[in-house]
Amino acid sequence: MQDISRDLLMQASKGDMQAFEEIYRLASSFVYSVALRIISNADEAKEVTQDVFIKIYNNLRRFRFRSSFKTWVYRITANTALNALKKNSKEMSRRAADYDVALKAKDDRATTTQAIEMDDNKKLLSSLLDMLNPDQRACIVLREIEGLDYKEISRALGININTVRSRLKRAREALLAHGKRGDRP
Amino acid sequence: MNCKKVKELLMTDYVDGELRPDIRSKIKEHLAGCSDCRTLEEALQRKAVEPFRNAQKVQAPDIVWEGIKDAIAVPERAPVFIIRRPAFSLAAVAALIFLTIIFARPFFISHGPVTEYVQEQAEFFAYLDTGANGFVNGEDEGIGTAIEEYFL
Ligand SMILES: [Zn+2]
Repeated sequence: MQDISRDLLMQASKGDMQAFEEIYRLASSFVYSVALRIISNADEAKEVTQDVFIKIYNNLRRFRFRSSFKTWVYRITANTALNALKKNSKEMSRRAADYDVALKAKDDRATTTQAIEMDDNKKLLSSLLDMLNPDQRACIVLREIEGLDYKEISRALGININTVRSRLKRAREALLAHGKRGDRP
Repeated sequence: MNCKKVKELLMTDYVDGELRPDIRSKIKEHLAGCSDCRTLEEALQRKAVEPFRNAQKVQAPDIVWEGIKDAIAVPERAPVFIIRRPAFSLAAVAALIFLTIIFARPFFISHGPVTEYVQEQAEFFAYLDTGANGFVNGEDEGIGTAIEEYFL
């Protein structure tokens, strides 16, 4: 996520809509991407994104700059997206069946066009994330897609660093175990 | 360093770049001489790390901002009247009387646009009350339990 200046936050907290729109412009792609990867559903990701920014707007006056604004946004985003996912339990029981197809598609992509390649990447990504439970998924998304380090993930999710580490380990074990089926003889 | 420890670190700190340089070099040394651990490292990169590196940032559709604007356009608090000069006090009193009449109407007319408006507002505030601070805890490790520290 891009840096957001203290001045901009101060202005927005006084009700300056232009300033708030600028904050939205700087942070919305992070919020929407994370929500989309965690929930795997565009409509719900839109709802989560709206929800996150309404929460930010309503609480901006109470934000006292003791922590970084980024961390605060990471945290609200992760919480809101995870709650939406956990509510939607059917998302959690997705089968691993798509995985082989998607992994094969990735291997074959050298022969495909750019557009199909993009599509395969998207499919592969969501089938990989579907292997994981919501908590592992959130860790992987923040780590691999958003590039947060362990400390940032631990703050975003309100868990300690060792829990971050063990969730990433379990997530990768799951990815490796399922990946074995994708190997050719 | 033994294989068990190396594998443990490969799965986490090594691929995530969280290791101290000296420990990282020790692992690299081990990988150079241990095909078992090297196989794990290759599989890990191919199946659990590289696929995510292609992920792209997605822009939120315009409709999202429209929805946010609509939701926050509703004033959060009742307007406060500040009377700075006596000349304005008459206007303020007139405005108060006018508003009193407007807001008293629902008590006399049961179904009018004003009633609906007031009801909508009440529902909206009820929604805000539950939604605005909806940091529901996760079932383990208490996700969000320390959120207050950001608000104080
Ligand atoms: Zn070894």
